[in-house]
Amino acid sequence: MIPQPVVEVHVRQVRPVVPPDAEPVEAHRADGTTWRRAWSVPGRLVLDFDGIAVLEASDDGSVTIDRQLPSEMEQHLLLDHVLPLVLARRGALVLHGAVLTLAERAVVLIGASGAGKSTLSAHAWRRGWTLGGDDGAVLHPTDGTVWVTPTHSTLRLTPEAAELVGIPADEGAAAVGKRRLRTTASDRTARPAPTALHLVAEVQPAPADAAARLTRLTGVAAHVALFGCTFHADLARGRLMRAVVDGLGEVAEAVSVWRLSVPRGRSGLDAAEALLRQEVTR
Amino acid sequence: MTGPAFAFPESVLAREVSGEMVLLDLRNEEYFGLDRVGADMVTRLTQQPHDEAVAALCRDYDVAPEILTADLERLVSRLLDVGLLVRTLPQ
Repeated sequence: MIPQPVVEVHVRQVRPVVPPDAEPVEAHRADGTTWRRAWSVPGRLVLDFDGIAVLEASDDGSVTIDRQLPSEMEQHLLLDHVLPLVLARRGALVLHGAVLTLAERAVVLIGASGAGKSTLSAHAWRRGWTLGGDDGAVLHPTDGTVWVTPTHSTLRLTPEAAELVGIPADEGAAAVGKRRLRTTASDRTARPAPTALHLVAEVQPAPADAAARLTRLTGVAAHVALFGCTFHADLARGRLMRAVVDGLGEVAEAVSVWRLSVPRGRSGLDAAEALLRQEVTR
Repeated sequence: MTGPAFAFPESVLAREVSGEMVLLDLRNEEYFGLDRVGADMVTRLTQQPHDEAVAALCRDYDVAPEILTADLERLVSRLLDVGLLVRTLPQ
């Protein structure tokens, strides 16, 4: 029996959130400015999204927000930021990545923000892959097989990415500058079943005139690629880090990890999808 | 009978991955990687008495003992400097 992540979240009334009297773990933008402060303490996780809102997720599943937010922003923060962190705090191994499946073999696309994970995922989806979700992948290594489940079944695309892959720009719901599309036709309570993970690919954008390329990563290189996109073990300040480091070691040894260079533009997406398809169906 | 001369401090997580080794220092969340030879050296030094570890490495690697010893000392010195190893025995 493969455990499936279940998180029940109840958004409580809007009221002030007081961060713990402790040093936060800060997340920075590329320019060095802070976009999020986090406190992970017994009983609760507090997240201060600089200038947007302060949220508290208690271990009983309740979430408090310090102000009224537009529903699309509230959904974005809860699904894309709070949910994976709550799962990680509960000991789940969560990667920031998209889950794609073909012929009952799963692929997780990881990579830096803006690398093109969602765009490639949407393109592959249009070409017959099943898309679990584009934000979080919960991994469960067991007996030499790694099972993967998306944290939630949606895809967020910029208007430019939607146009590139041929999805109408007004499809889905507004999601903080992007459109959020449901990736399954089933009702909102349905969760995709765990699928055996076949490979992980770290997406790296390449110039439009470059060739799409898959490069195998092994050992430390594979581990560091996975570690760099793990949702966010650092919040635990070491409490859960042993399990994360060991779990990623198991993953790196059980599945193949690749770097996938994806040239800009439609033909680059075609070539990258073809490489993934070839590797998965080999 | 003496034990290993070196150990990983409590704040360091070490994990072998496909023959290589990742080391994560929880104090500053710095992440280090060792290739196969470095991983083998560190594994032996933290599991065997020093003289046994050096003798085994000299046996297993096709390299002059003085070169191996110098490489080993350089690696150990670096790992001690950054706090990824500690001495378990007085020098």
